[in-house]
Amino acid sequence: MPTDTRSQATVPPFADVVVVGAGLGGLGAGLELARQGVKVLVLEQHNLPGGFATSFVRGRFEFEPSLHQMPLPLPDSGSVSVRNYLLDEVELDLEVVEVPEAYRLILTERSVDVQIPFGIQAVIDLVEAQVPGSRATVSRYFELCREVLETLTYLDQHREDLNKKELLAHHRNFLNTGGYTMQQVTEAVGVPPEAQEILYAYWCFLGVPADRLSFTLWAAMLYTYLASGAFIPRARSHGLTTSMVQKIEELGGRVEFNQQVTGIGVHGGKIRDIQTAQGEQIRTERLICNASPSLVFDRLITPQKQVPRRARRLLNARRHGVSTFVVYLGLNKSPAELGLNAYSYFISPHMDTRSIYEITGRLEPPLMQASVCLNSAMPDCSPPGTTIVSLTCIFQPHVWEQVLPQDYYRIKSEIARAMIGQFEKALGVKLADHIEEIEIATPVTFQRYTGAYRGVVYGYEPDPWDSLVPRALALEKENFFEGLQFCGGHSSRCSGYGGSILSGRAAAHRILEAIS
Amino acid sequence: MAVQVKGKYRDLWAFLSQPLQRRRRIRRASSGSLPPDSLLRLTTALHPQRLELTIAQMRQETPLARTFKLVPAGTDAEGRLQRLPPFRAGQYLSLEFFVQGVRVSRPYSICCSPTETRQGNFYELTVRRREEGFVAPHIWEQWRPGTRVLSSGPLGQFGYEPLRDRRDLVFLAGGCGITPFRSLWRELRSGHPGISCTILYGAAGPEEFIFRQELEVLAAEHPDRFRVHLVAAEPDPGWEGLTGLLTGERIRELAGNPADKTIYVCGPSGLYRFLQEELEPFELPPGALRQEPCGETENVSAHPGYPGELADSAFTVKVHQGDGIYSIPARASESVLIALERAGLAPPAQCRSGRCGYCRSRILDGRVYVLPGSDGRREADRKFGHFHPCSSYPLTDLEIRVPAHPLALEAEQRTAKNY
Repeated sequence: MPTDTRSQATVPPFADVVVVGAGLGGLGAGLELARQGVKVLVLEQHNLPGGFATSFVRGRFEFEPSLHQMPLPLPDSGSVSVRNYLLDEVELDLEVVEVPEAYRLILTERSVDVQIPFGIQAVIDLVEAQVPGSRATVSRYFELCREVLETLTYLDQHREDLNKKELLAHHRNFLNTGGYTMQQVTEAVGVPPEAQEILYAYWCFLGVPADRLSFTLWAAMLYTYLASGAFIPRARSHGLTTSMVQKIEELGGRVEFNQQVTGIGVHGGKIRDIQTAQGEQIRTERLICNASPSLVFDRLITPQKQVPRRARRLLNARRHGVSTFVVYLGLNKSPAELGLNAYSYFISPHMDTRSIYEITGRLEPPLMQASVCLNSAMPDCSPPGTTIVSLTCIFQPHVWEQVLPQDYYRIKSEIARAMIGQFEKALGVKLADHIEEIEIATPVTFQRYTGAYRGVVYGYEPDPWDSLVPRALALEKENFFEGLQFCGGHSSRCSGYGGSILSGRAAAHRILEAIS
Repeated sequence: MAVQVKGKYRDLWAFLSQPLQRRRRIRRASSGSLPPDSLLRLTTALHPQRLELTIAQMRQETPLARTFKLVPAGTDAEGRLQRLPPFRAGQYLSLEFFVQGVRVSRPYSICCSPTETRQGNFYELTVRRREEGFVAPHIWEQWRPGTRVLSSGPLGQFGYEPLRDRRDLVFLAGGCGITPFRSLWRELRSGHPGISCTILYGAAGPEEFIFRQELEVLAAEHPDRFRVHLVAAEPDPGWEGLTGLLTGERIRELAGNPADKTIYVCGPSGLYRFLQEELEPFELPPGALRQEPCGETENVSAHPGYPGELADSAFTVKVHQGDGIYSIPARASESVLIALERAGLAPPAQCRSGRCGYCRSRILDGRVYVLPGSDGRREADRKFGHFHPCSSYPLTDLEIRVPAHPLALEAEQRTAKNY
């Protein structure tokens, strides 16, 4: 047994800042802190970084587990773009490729089959061709979305010196729509129903039906994607997160894997220390949690009686968003042989988001799937003559909780089969005969690897009262312990790859402010 | 252009009242604990990080092979025996051992069927004794009814997948590689009526065929669906069955044209390489030949491409693990994982064949030889110098960073309790 410098400790005894969880938010936080010269320690319970942003290998294929796309920067916008942050500011060693088009939408009961390009004008033209007479309202709709995004950028830049007069005078449309749902505003603008169904496809990226989804959040997402286009990391999300880890360590930070945090010690309303599953203790006064506030306040904080009642009420008031179910296929034919030419496919009988969402609350095949042919963005992502396709749908968090262990493998296989069938039927293609590798991930799978509370992917649902602006306004009031900040999909920027990374950056800035 | 949704003042109020709405919602909500995370209950039931098992029975299969029946040692909150996680036929358990003072893991295929586990709440494992082995002799000497064993939950991707595989299956087993197939044929026998299966089982001599009687009964009772051929490499005079090797031609004679079948291979690492070559003329579509490597390669220097002149060398590995830095010896002919285990560093490991990535570590300096067929690394990991110690062999002195075992403390406490 080596005795040279043997130390039983697997983590250092203290750290300036500890980050709990190396998901996108935690890595974003670690990266920003390391960049500012802070000795940061990131603890991850899994043996890989990234949480949902990872990859896995089966046979000749490396699969992308969760990312469909991240938005490219908007031209002439002062907002922080995740691409510019990662590539220009941080100078991450990361190769990215652009996604060729927004999406192909197939609504089987509505006889809709359209391919939506990137570029607002191109989208307006296409919708006009599909729904003659829609040009005026659809143009107005996008103009409104642009204004919303503009105000969000303004708010981000003037966090410290918000001017109410300026807001009332020049950002009126943001205010007028900010209290409403996506459905309420879209109807108020007068977008014809046939045009709505073409434009609504991305709703499932947020997992909340149109009659509950905050318009602000929706508008920002829709406009960003359609106006600027999208990209993905070449070496899958694992390429992104591994590169982030590498950078954190280059800058003097530290990332430790297989280190589950089992307790967060508090005293007198302040963070005091961290306990790990190894039985070790790390003293720290500052903590950024990528783990969900539900997990942190309801399980990790010790002693539990120090958790304020208001924090508990907040947890009980919020609603957990959806989880996902994904079928990953490695196919032994090329995309051309299979007849696949688009990158992103949205397939559903119709675009009634309420009834689609309702079915996601049952243990049965979904009505809608969002699917990706990776080779359409990256022809060489798999060996010549092969294709990677993934089919994704959403489930409400309570659905898989009812499954009995002995039925689990059968049910997941049945739903996967149905989703493959739906894809084949909608596109008139054959996948089933060409499957070389298949893997199926359920909410259980995601929870197994990420530890996500209830397996949720998107954090809390962004109802209008719990969307971007209310979360941002409540940040200080809901900061229940001195030295504690949150990042990731549950935090102020809501879910999504870009939002999560930038939420980590923002949490790091708040910690840095407190330090100085 | 100004947009109005419900009217000038109502719109503004809808926006400005959001913090009020939020406060109201929070005020009205319960201040009690959250309901338990019920998904976690299912996730833990299916994929426990750790299982505590007890040997319930032991059965001698051949002079060198024993089957152990394992039942849960743990009880739930109500004192009932824990339910064992269901699994897919072909999966394995990664067992943990403390042998000669060091902590090591070994993967063993589950050899009973998922239905048996569901009905009887047990797993079966068959272990063949190898004198030169490190763990098998330990099992042989230590495992008796009542012995406690630490295990992972069921793991691995080997086995029949109806969404992927053909209806005509060939199971090619060498030696103790028969074990995952027993789980498969037992499962396929009772369900999956459309499946037809040829089992080709090669072993050194007639004494070495594990489950021989069961295989003969299987073929006799289901002649339309299961065909069984035992092939002895070194037959004794009384052997009337097939002899020699499982060549491509032999396989075609016994099972029909391999090109329209899914072929599953489990056995010593040489067997898979041999079969790859033998089956080449039949131009199987990639993915139609599926392998369960069952742990590490026995003899790395036999691999084409391995720099044979190094085989007898020894190197020094500087290991960073947590807050410690250790300097340990490593033989060129042994995986880096084994060097880490020998040194008592208890690295995480599960499949031990390069695929699962559980032992993923990072090379800071030096070079390793990665077994070509066992390089399950992700693209970015190759780029940034990560490696899987279980399928990597030192070519130089190394400096590496290895994560701690996620269950380090728990395991050490168990050692004290004589697990």
